[in-house]
Amino acid sequence: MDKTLKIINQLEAQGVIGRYAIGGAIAIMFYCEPTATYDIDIFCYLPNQDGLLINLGPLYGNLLAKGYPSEAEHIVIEGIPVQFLVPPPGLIQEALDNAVEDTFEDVPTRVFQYEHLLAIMVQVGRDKDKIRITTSLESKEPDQAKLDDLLKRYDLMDKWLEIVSGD
Amino acid sequence: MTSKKIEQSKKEYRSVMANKSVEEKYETLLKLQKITTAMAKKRGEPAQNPWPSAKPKAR
Repeated sequence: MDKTLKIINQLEAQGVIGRYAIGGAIAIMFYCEPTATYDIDIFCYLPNQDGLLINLGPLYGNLLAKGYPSEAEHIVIEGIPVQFLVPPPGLIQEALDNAVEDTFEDVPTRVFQYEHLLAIMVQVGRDKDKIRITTSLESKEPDQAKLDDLLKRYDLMDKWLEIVSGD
Repeated sequence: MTSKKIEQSKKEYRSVMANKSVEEKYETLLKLQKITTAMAKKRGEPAQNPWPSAKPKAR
């Protein structure tokens, strides 16, 4: 994964993508026990985007020129499928803006904060997210004040209480 | 072992895992992927390829 992150850092340094951060199951791994996953979710801004349509063409073209092909919604970088996602306004954009610096095998990267990851899982609300919330909480306690603030601002408190109470 | 003790044991394991380095957790993830892939192949279901191993570091 270190080689994959180095390539993504290059993309940011070259301005092919803007600020990026790891989200999803791989981000949770930075805080909790790992769960089986086969891709990395990279949330990033894209430069020079006009209008409502998101154009991933320049990014895909750059990576293809480097020898990294796309497979369905992923680009396989150094053997690891990566999904590049532009954050919608709201919680996920806030998570990207407030992502924290971290390292993997001495390679610098950015990761969504734990409380943002929990709030996003509440918002998405699939069965696997609910299970992941429960197991994550058994791994690591969140900063409750920070989490409560997110849950209130994004109107997720009722859903959160429903999930943690197991109803 | 009672179910309560099993649950407690799982919680303790999760807490221990959470405190390991992300590099150690990554190695566990690779093992999980290998198991998941092997089980899918055994059942004749589409299987995804496990990720490459991290390069061993000199300590």
